[in-house]
Amino acid sequence: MIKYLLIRLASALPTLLGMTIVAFAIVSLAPGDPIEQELRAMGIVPTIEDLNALRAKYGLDKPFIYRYFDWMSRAVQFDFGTSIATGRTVINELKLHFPATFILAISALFGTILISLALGIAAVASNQNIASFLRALTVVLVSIPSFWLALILIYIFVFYFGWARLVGDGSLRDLILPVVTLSLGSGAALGRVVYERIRAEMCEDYVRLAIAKGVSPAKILLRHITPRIIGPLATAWTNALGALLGGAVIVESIFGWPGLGQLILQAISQRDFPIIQAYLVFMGLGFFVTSLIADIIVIITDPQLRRKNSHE
Amino acid sequence: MVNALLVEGLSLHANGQLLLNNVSFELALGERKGLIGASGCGKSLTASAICGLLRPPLSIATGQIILDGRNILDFSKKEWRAVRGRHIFQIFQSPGTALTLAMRIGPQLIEAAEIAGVKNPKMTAIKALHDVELDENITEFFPYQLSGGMKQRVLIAMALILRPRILIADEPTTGLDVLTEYEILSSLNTMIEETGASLLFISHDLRVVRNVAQRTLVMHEGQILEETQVDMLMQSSYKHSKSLAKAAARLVHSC
Repeated sequence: MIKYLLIRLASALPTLLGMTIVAFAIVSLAPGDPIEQELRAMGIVPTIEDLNALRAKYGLDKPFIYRYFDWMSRAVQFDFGTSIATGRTVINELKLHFPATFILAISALFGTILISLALGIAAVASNQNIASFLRALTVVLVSIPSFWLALILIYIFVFYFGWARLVGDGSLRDLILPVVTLSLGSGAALGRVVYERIRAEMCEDYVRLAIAKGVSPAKILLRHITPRIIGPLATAWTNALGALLGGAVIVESIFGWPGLGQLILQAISQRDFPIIQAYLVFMGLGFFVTSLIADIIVIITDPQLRRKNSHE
Repeated sequence: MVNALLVEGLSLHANGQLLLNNVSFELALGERKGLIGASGCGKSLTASAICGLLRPPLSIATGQIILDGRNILDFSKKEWRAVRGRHIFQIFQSPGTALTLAMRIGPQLIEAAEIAGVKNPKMTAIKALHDVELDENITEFFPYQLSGGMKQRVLIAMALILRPRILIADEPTTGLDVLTEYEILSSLNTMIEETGASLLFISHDLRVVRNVAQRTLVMHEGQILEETQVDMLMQSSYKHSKSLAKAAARLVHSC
């Protein structure tokens, strides 16, 4: 297994390198001058000399390739420079906002897993009418954009029932509505995956043998089908984590959740390049880590792959 | 003779197409009977209908399947579960896909023993493995670590544990070499002798059927043509029965 992990990490290096190039290029080649914008935001009308001096200070006057390698050499040491907007180091900014987003994304992932399992299993176990209703519900939940769902939830739970507050202080209580907003759509989409997976397995001979033995449906699902589908489902769930992190940007700003979403929206509006670049890199790393976790789950749940990797 | 199973006028269709047409036969207590016919004639469908393993779009149009004086087609899901395993059990054509791949052999046999309600499931599983001449360390193996013949014998061990009153063996020797085929048939005979179960042995290979049963049903295009002695097939008035017997005889001579 350790050998597999090392090979997997080594094979991911080109991907990670490509990701850093894309992250750096997207931001660097985007229109707009952050120095000029920041000075204007402070009410200063800069001269050409001022702009040139500040560009030189932040290294923005150098060629793209030079700037990339300079940035990379620092980035591998987790030094992403200083925020142009706040003057604080990028790492400190991320440290400040990342925990809130992490808690939100992980909670939303658990919500997604629970909703997808509940919808998928209910659709398999129920009769044709209920299954049709659940399919329709799934389509509705998948189709609603997260910002619209957020507004509906705010109307119902904040203004109508008064069970939640619109402007919170980042406590766990304030986490509920953002988590529900993020989980419902992705949970419904993945509920369809759970349903299809279980249905496909139910046609297999090993399930027919379990039925022929007289095993109860619950035991067939838990003992026989689950080990077969947990790997592909783990892959789908962990891939959803990336989408949840992306979706968190909008949802955080709607609910005022003090995570990376707020930080990145502010950074985009202020052309705060170091923050945006670091954010893109960390999101890419997040995708990489989650897909690695999914691969490990696939290996652990497949005895043949498990044996192959333990013998190598 | 007392009937263990009575199938009367069973018709089955899918998307408007008739797949089984008025199938009727009976299986006496402890009787061994073959069910032969060309591939695709409806043998496995008959077995699936008897075990309640049909899936949409397959559905039973008419007929009844009588077990212990009750039509099992009227059973609720719970009643079906009580019947399966202990009363009727089926071993499948492809042992490679019939066992749960992610589960060790031991737990799969112990699960059967728990359903059978035995006192010591683990010991019962080990004894059943010994009866089909498999080593007890097999319990620690996953299905992919066993050969096709070994997997089929695990399924027969499962039948030994469940001790069903009716066993349906659906082409259990297909795709196996002759030595393994002999071992499987021996294990099956041991199982039947030990449990006194009635056996419906499905095959398209007359040579194999002759090893386990004296009488056989002949199926053709979803219909039972006749029930006859295996050795009398050549004298059958049905063209299809005759051609099955002739083909089997030609194969024996050419070997």
